[in-house]
Amino acid sequence: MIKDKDQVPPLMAFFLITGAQIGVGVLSFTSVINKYAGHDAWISIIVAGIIIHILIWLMYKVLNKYNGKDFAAIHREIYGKWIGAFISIIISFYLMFLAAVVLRSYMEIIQVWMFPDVKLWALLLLIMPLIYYIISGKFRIVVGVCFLGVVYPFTLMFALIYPLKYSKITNILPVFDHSLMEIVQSSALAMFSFLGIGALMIYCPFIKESSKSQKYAHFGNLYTTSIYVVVCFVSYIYYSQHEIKDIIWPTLGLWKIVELPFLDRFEYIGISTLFFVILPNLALYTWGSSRTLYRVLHIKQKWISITLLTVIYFICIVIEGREKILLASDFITKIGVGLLFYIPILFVMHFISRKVKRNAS
Amino acid sequence: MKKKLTEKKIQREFEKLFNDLKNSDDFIDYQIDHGTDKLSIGYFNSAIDNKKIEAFVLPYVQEFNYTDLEELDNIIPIANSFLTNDVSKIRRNLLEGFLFIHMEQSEQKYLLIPVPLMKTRQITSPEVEFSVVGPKEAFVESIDTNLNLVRKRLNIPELTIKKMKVGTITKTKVAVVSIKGIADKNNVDTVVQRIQDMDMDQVIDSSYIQQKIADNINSPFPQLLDTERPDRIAAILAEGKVAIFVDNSPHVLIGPTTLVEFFSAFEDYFLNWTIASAFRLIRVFAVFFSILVTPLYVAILTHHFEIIPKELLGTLVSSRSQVPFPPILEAIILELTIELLREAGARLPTKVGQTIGIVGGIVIGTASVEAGLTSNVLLILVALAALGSFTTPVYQMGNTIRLIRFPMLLFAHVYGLLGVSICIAYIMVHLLKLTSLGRPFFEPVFPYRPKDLKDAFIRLPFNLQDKRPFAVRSEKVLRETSNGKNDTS
Repeated sequence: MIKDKDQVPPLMAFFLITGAQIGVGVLSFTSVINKYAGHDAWISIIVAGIIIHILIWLMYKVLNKYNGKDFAAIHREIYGKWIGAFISIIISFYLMFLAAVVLRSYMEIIQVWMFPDVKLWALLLLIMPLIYYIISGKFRIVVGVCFLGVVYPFTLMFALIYPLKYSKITNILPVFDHSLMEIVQSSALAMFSFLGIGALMIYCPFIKESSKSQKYAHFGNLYTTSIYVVVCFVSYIYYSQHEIKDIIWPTLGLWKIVELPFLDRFEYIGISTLFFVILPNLALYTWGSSRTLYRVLHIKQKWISITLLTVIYFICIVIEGREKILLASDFITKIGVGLLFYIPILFVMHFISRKVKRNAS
Repeated sequence: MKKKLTEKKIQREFEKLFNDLKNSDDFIDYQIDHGTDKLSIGYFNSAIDNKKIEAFVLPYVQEFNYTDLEELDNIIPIANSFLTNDVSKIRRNLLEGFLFIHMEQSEQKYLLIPVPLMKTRQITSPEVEFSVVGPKEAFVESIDTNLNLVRKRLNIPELTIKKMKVGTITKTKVAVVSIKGIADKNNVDTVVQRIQDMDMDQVIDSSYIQQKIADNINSPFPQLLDTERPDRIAAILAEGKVAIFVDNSPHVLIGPTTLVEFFSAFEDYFLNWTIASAFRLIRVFAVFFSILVTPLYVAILTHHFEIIPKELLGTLVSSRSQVPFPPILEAIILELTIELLREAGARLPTKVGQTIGIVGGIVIGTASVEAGLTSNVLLILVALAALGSFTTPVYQMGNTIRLIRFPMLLFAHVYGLLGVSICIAYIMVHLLKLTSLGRPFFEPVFPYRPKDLKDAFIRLPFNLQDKRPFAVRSEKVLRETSNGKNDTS
């Protein structure tokens, strides 16, 4: 059982959900999701957000049934020792890989926009100890990083006021120009930007009165959805649809237009501040991964964390070049969406296992 | 037979005691005839007040009639004197400024009379935390005077003082002060426990204790607030915190504390809340400015000069055109110069210090720009940063800000703005991890407690602050007021 002192208030579920969801994707998702729905893709985000709401609701249904237990324990109860451990290990490897891809994607932006000839291995040597420093402490520290990683970068939203001056509302008209099917197809792509909610199943026991936190978790998802919708909306009225197709990071383009008397090229500030956005991702994913492994393998979490970070370090170095990064992130997001569908499966499975157990007794 | 043996043993112990005492030349003992009996008197000359002996001891010893020490004890008009034959007690009390009187006939009884010399500095106005308005008293080196200064502000029976002695050599008096029923018992127990567990031979100043009982002794951030203002201590005790008084130290420690508390001057409470809030915000801004400005200069000029608009770039380029060094070297040279000036100014007497300030500030500054060693833009920035770090009301936090600028500079040089971000992240995580007496140090930012923000970066009016800060975990959260029914007698 987790001690009362190590638990965080229910409100923190808001920051944990949002902190896990918003990441480097916020720079690029606008030019990905319009593949089917075009300028109506912002509706797809809302659709995706609603689906995520349902998934969160399902997760809390399961979690409330298994009062104060996490993924590893629930798996063990539903599937038994071996299969449960196997699924938990898969999930923790997924989280580790996700962290590596997030970090690598951020590094790519650094390489393209700020330092073309940065020595990646050296820069990572600065960042990896930072992540270890975060996850080596109590879970409280990870939550704190999520909190600051949500609050502080919010200031970047104000930078979206500047592009409005050069934007045309006609770019986004007429609304509902696409079929429902196209919007749904796009929302499947938009789901990529909402990944990471599954970590809820891992840190749930660390939230005080976790059933009360459901409200805040939904608020967190709502916040993420609204941030995405705002970014998407501004992007689509600033760029025309055939323009945005060829841009990899449209949000950076939005920042470029910011002009202050003492400041040009706001995107440099934006990219550096974005470090605080990806930090919660990295911390939460690696923590979740190491925590799940610890629950299954019962090795000291310290050693698991060090091993995981070393693996992430080498994954980041090995993945080199745009194609490989795209390949890796495609791969991991596909698994991620697949795992999102695992949540309803888990929901059904827990019903079945309950039934079976009741019948057996 | 047995009785004789113990008597002999005691005799030997006393002989040993006096031999030990006589090792030091300031130990004085002499004998006076009193009728048929002989009196011996002894004391440490450096620990006692001669005037007291002349006025209150010797006249009574010589002129009155008595047959044993108990009678003498009643005659001498000094409180807290006592009779004992405990060797270790005698030794300890002699060192603390007692004198002993012994009668040949009364066996092994010794009368101990307190005549300590109490020479302390006069109570002066605070120097480190000076304020224009408000009380002008500051703590001095005597713990009794300091406790008195607080007791007269909080004359309630709930004010409890727990006294201890620490340091195997110095045996320094330490007092843990709190208000019963308001302060969290756990906090008080933690402080007492940590002081009792302290393993030190010497405690010269309260800062020794601060360093020894801090939660993380390797952190550059001070985790206990120190103050020299009795009014601040009184206010903070009423808030439910714990104060640690140390003898021979004019600084009193307060815990648990939070980061924002280091940016609040006590003067904030003497001013109207709007003004006080504005000053606090300026102070917070000054600290951020002081930490970030030179690293940003280095980051931008080394890696991303595109950030600077064309018009401003012209000014910067023309001021840097003569400088042969990269920005990092330029910045480090100037920062080190300022640190040198500060160190020199702090070590020298005030008058010489002022001269150094003028030499450093005007002569070196102008000369180095004219010689083309630094750009005058950076000179302005560094000077402003130095000014900014002086605005922190607590000296120790100022030192921390001085220090953390340097790693930030290096990060900025290597990875530009990203490096600055990474360094800030390190500091932020460190602050998240820090605790003060086990309570989070970064409160009320995280753990996020909006109610405690009333007295953090801004100070809201008193009538909105009806509750004690949650960070203290006070046993009485609500501040009880008299509802306008004040005692008029």
